[in-house]
Amino acid sequence: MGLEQMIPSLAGDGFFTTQVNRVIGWARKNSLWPYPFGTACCAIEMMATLNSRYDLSRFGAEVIRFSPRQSDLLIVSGRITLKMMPVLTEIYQQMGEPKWVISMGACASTGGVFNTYPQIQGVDQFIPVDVYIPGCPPRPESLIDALIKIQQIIDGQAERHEFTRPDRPAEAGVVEQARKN
Amino acid sequence: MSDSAKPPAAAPAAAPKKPRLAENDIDHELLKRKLGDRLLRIEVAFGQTVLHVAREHVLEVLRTLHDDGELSFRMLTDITAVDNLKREDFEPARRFKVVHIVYSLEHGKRLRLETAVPEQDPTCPSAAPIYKGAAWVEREVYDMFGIQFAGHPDLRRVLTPDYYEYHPLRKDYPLTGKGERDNFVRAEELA
Repeated sequence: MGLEQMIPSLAGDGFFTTQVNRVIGWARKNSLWPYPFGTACCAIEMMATLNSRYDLSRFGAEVIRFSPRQSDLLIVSGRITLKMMPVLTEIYQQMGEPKWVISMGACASTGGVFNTYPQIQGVDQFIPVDVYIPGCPPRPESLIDALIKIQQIIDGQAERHEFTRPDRPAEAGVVEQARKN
Repeated sequence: MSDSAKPPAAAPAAAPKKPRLAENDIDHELLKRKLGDRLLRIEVAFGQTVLHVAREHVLEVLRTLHDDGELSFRMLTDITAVDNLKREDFEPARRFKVVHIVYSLEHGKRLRLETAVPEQDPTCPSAAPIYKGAAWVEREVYDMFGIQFAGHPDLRRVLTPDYYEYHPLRKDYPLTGKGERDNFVRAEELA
């Protein structure tokens, strides 16, 4: 493989030391299985990213899973409406740990131009997001960039930010509770 | 040479008349003869014939338009509604307007039916017994405007979620809603 030449200590004694975290992270970041939550035109760009021209498999993330239980990267690409938000939360909950979330495009991140009654003004209000992609829709290069940033987070090169959200009014969540009852 | 000395601009040449669509060429006398006094008013708006009908006669008028061999408006294009709340000549007795658009495949003619619906009692007879396709579009009108369709087989919301409390296309409903979009349980609170 030529690995012996690349890692000097291997060439000598035949072993090298590392951290378990790093080894597992190295494996994880190069075998992300994304769950595509595509609801709008961003999903078209996501498909373009997966195609041979941009070829997301170069980064080991081409195995799209349509079951949240088999995936570890949620790509929210498109408008999320108030009918869709409970579905998205449920999908997110069903993904096994560890999991990461990309909020792709203006609509998923902020609501975009749709400041209207059914449009969720940013999915990060209700699910934690690791990387946001600006653009309407973002080009495939942006999604690749976001994926690399996710890889850096997994690898420990970038800090995974703590999620802080503003306090909510006491009656928050009543609609959702009404739906469940 | 001052501006006032300029000769008056020549009157613009009359815009060429748009050719009338054949589907809008409808014999008004025939409609009047067939529908009689159930027809409140007949007008031509944007080249299209519009029948104004009282709410209690909608079903009969639709039945005649559908069944009569000389009319045979067998296809329902759409049912929609208008909320007149923000109009200058608003009156509560005519707050909503239910609009039926029907088409005759046999004769290639299109027709619009307008029915005033009051604010206090927003109901309208359902066209579902005559046009089967009316059931779904009436659900949409009910969802968006809160107009009840009497005789509808299954009047449920179709676009907004079942728990939704408002009718978003009413003019007194704010564009950004009443906080429903910000009112979900966070993923970490559910876990």
